Amino acid sequence: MRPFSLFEFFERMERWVAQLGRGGLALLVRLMTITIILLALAWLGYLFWIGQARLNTEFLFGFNSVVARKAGVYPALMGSLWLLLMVFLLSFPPGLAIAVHLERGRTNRRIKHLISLNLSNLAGIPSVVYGLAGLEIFARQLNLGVCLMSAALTLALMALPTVIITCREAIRRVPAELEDGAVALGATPLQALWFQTLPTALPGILSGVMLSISRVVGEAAPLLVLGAVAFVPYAPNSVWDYFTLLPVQIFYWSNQSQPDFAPNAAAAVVILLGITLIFHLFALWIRNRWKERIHL
Amino acid sequence: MKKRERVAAWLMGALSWASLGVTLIFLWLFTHLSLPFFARLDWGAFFTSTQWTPLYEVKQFGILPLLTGTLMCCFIALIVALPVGLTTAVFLNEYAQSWLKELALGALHVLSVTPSVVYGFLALQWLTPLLQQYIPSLQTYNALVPGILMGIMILPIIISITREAMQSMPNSLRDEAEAMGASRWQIILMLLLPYSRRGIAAASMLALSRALGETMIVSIAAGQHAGLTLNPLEATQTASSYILQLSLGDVGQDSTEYASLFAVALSLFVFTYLLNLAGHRMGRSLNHLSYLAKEHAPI
Repeated sequence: MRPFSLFEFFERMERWVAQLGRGGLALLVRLMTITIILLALAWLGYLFWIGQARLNTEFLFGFNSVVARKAGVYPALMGSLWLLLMVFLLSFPPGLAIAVHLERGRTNRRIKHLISLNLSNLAGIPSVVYGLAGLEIFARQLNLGVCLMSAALTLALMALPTVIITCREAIRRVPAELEDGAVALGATPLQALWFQTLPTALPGILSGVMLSISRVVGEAAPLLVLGAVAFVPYAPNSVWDYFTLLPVQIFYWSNQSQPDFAPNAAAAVVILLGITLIFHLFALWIRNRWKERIHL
Repeated sequence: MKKRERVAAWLMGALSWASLGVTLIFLWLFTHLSLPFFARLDWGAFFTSTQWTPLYEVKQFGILPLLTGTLMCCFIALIVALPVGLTTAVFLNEYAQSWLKELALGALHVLSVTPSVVYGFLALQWLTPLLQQYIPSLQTYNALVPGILMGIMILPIIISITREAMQSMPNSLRDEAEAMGASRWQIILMLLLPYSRRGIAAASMLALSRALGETMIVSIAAGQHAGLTLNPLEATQTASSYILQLSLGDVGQDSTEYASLFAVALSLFVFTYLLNLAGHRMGRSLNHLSYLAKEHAPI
């Protein structure tokens, strides 16, 4: 029998602990990831479970009410859809123009870098700050008041940096040879851009813009700061109308002291998430088809 | 070039310059409108007073409660998000089978598209009652639960940027380490994490700036009173939820409270702008654009 060696004992202990630690860490790492998956599933399940009683057409097409069981989300739903469209129309053209300029324009690289750095910083500014600026600039200084228009302008301003970033990403993916070929055949640079690059990049651009806009329309804070309230008895008919939105409605319902309103809030959350997810899946579908085409 | 083309190019350039103007307009606007606040301010009390009560009869403007509230929530969020985010990123990068990876990315996608008001609802209606069963002293409105949910909210940002940094590690490095006999964990701890430290730092800064500005979760679940406390089980208020609270109330346009709104907005603007600047500077070695696109439309 070998003599007992303290050194060897410690070494063996150390190896054992290290092995245990490695196994434990690997397990921990797995558990974290699985927890995230379960969490996302649990939330969706919880929201459905709480909100299922209110998920019916009455709720979808009803108007708000002080009685929880009679309340509906029609004005809020319509407001959100209007806003989705308006933010798209307001942020897409300038966003695309800036993206094209930054990707293909003939400006000093330093200046372009400065502009794009500023844009990415603007993308990180809190939404309340945008709301406050929108309130002061659009609602007060430009005298638009609290209406869909000032809300859409505020949100468009907020969406713009992200729209630009995603548009640039899409334009950048289009091979430059396409444009070079067009120019070689006698097209002007702008024609090459307009007839070659942009049509090729369009699906990517659209999906990126949709992703960034659907995210912005889920925001409640800037619109609450702007002055949106939950109790609007009609769906908007024009861009100058007063409005309410799903996130705003959810905020007021979850802040109610009566527990009756919790199912309403959960049901509204399910509808909002549904809209966002459908939008997202559609955008991702476009993007995937486009990627297949571009690789050809 | 035709004239029409020159006009188009000029217009696109002008619009790009206008985006710089937005920053300047914001700065000017907030400075201009917060001047009355700073002019009427008692600077001694501003730094030493433990009360922030703009809506009370006796108005006191001590920045400490608001500052501690904001920092505490962000701190809790980072405490939750950093370890979970890092380990998940390591797992997705090193271990995960492809089906599990797809599933995890899908879950993260759901987390990242969830509007923040939904997180607020979940905080107040789901997690607070759940935790109250285990921590009896937890108040209905507290800093802990919004902090945790804020941490979950910023998870996708941390994971996607960290993964981006990890994926940029050249395979030759890994091969060399393996050839030297390094184990998987040695590679992760001594190669992968040090290699992606800039990405991790960038991710934490961008995530922190997101947490700083997060409004709905704290407004719904953290309460409305800014008391000077470091106890996460009590109600608190952050800078952004103060802006929301005041905007929802009735505030005269030439009052000190109204000006204080813009002072708080100015400091939020400046802080998040600087944090983003630092974050993007940290992450500049990564592919700049795809990395930014990841931040805003993660996964």
